[in-house]
Amino acid sequence: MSPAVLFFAVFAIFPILFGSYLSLTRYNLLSPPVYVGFKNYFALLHDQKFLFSLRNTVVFVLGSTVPIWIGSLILALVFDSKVPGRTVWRALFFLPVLPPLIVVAVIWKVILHPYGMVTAILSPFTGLGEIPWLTDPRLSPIMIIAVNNWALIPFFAMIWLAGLAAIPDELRHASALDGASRMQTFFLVVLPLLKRTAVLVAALSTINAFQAFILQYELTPDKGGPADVNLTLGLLIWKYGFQYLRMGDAAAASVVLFAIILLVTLIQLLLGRSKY
Amino acid sequence: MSRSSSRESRSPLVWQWFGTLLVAAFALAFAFPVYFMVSSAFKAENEILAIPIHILPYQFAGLEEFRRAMEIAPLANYVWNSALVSCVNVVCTLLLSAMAGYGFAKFNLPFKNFLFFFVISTMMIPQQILVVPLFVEIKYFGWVNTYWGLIVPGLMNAFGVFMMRQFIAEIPNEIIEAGRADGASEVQIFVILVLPLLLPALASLAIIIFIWSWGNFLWPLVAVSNEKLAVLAVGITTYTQPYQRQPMWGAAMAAATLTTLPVLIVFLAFQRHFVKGITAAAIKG
Amino acid sequence: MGSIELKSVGKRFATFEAIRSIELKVEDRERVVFVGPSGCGKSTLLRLICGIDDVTEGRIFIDGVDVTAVGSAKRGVAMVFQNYALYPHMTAEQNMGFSLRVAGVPKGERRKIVRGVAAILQLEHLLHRYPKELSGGQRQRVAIGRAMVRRPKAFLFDEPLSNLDAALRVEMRLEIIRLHEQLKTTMIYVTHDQAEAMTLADRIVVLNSGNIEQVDTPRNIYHHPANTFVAKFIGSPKINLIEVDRLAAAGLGQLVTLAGRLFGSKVRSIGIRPEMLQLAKNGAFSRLCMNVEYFGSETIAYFEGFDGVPLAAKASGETHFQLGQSYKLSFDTVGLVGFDTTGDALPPL
Repeated sequence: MSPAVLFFAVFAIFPILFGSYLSLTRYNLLSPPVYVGFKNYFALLHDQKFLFSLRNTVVFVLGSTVPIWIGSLILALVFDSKVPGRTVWRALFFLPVLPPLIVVAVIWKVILHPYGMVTAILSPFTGLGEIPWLTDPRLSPIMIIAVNNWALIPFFAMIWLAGLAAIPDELRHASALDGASRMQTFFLVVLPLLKRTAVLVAALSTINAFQAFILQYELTPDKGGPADVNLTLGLLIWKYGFQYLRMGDAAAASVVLFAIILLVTLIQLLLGRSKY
Repeated sequence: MSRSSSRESRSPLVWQWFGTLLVAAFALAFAFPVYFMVSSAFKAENEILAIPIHILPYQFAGLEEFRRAMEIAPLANYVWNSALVSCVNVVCTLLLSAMAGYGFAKFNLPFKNFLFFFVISTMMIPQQILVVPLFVEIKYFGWVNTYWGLIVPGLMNAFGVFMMRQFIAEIPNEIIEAGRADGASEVQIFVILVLPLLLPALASLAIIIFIWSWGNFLWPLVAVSNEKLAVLAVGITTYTQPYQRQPMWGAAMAAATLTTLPVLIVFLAFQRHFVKGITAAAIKG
Repeated sequence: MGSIELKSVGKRFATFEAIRSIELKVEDRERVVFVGPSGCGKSTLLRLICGIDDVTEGRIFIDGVDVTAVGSAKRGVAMVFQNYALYPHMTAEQNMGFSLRVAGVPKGERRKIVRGVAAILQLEHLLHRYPKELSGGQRQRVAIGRAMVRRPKAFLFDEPLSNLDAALRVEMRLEIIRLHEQLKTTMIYVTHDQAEAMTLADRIVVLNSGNIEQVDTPRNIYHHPANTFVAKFIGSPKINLIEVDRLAAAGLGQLVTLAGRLFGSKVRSIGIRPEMLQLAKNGAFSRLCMNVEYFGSETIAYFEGFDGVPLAAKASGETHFQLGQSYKLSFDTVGLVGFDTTGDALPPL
């Protein structure tokens, strides 16, 4: 066990501590880090870009976690039912999970081309031959959220399915026998027993959404544009650290991100405790 | 998930047809982009953005675009690097996680519970907070733009430890005690007795790690700037964001398909194990 | 009020025929037990009556009404599942009140009814607990309570005692009988334990591979089994079945003649219950004692059989047998059963 612990220490624990230290410095990789106390943090508070990224991140988190939670649950219920051709639909629905997220971004970059197919399909209704899906400040955040949801709903549906499978059939039989309609059985018996899974899905999708980086990196002009409207915290950290080489600021921002995630997840887990 | 053939689950025929149609429509919508990627990989460049949408390639361009992709960027290198990183990742992570999981599950160490909780909480740590300090670390080791820097930091996975511990905890202590009574060393017990029993769990974890590693973007982006060492995930962006030319969609789609293919293969080959692993993790979570 | 009738009921799963054309009538207020080995179809039959599964052929009538096409909730029967199927996220009280809640009964009235049932089952002090905080026997009573609240026309029990330990099982058996006396409602009970069947039933239905072998009172089933299957299934230790040919081969001609006289020329084997096989000074034959089991209240001795299967003899109290010693045995012709070549019982002449 000791090599594992050693390894863990060097590459997991130490970086966090080191990162926290770096957040208190001004460091551009060329000269050694200079200790500046909490200056970076105060700077962030006044940093337009940072505050903006906070807002963008929250928008993204809400826009993805809620639809994903609901959508994946519905999808799982569909998989669980007796729809004819179930295996075929399941396989089709599962496809978005296969390509790595960066590939997902590449694919959608083509599909959402201003002259691309989505524009074409909608042109009878909009009368437009060109729609700047990914470059319009109002449209692009929506599209990116949509792409994210497309990619993740099937994945979380699988987690719901696992939770559903853990509910014994006998309980549904008993409920039907007790006179409950299918709706009643679902809301009064199945859903409460899915509470653990529900919390898991919520927590995982939230943690994932807060770290949003890849889609924004690939699908936006100027990495976060237009006009920083897609600049999420994840993207900002990368930008500050590896584009502007302001390691201290990047580290500080990443500490903030970590704190937010920790807080939100803790709240979710506390709210989701069950006594059965 | 068997549903009995009972009266309860029957609804009017009209609804059934409508429901099936709805499901089918959504299924196709979800599947389409992936299909589009594959079919576009075999189209001629000008066809990809063509309106009306070419569902099937009008001119089957064969492997033309794949060749093109290899000309524009060192695609073969990308593939090799990704494969190397992912495989090493899988092997090492499996070993380390199994060892750590074994330690947590079967031995009584001081502060065991605290340590375990600590390990688990690291699962919540976003990549972003690790990236900056890790980069500084590998710079210090002189590992920037080397395979060492690319692979080593990703080798420890808290999820792996968690999963291994859960599975190992289910192995009866008697087996290990019998091994000790028979005079086996701790290492022998681990390798000969414990590991074989973990095979299904290891398979599931292997799949998860492989897929995660194959698609990992942030760290390879940061750790390596030399094209020859880039992984597929990062390399694919050269087709969509080149500095001078227009994006080469055909080549991009070809590279995309290539990147997705191993994931598909791994899934098909290990499907059963994967579902088992996720199910177990979800239930125990 | 709670009569149940099955007419030509059959159930097929894909290619497997679980139930073959069953005819059965259960009278109102009767306690009927379905018993048989694993896989005989007894649980399936119960589920068909309950409505959880649909029949593939035949009709089911409850109180004279054809309910074959009616959903399970509307049939007016309640089931107690083998694993109790209690809702883990609800307290005992909520579990029992669920059917009322679903029907829209207001909270106050629900409480009253549930408390009433809880009183009968001695569950009042457990109402606020969750299933995981209850013992096996307590969970079982909650499951029964849940069924009782619905005031069903019939109670269906699916192996309810198989998850309990031996002592608890005996206790619960008595409770169930007591409940039946009090509620006077039809009960159909499924078990694989023939002792349970014997003690609980007004009538026993012995099932084998989807067919009914015999339907009768426990007494009749025990003393007049319809065939060798029933004879061997009911009664512990198992009945001693001896083929007539073997008797002849062992040189016991007079026993062969006896069998012929009692059951006619068609007799192929005779069955002797262990308690009918006794030590006798001038016994009909002697056998070697192979094994003895002392139970305190009774003794069971095993003797060398005629075809490899040991003969069991039951004696009361503590009777000592010497292993390896020969004993003279005899039996009373009154309790004897005869079977023909197909295994069916032959009536005494």
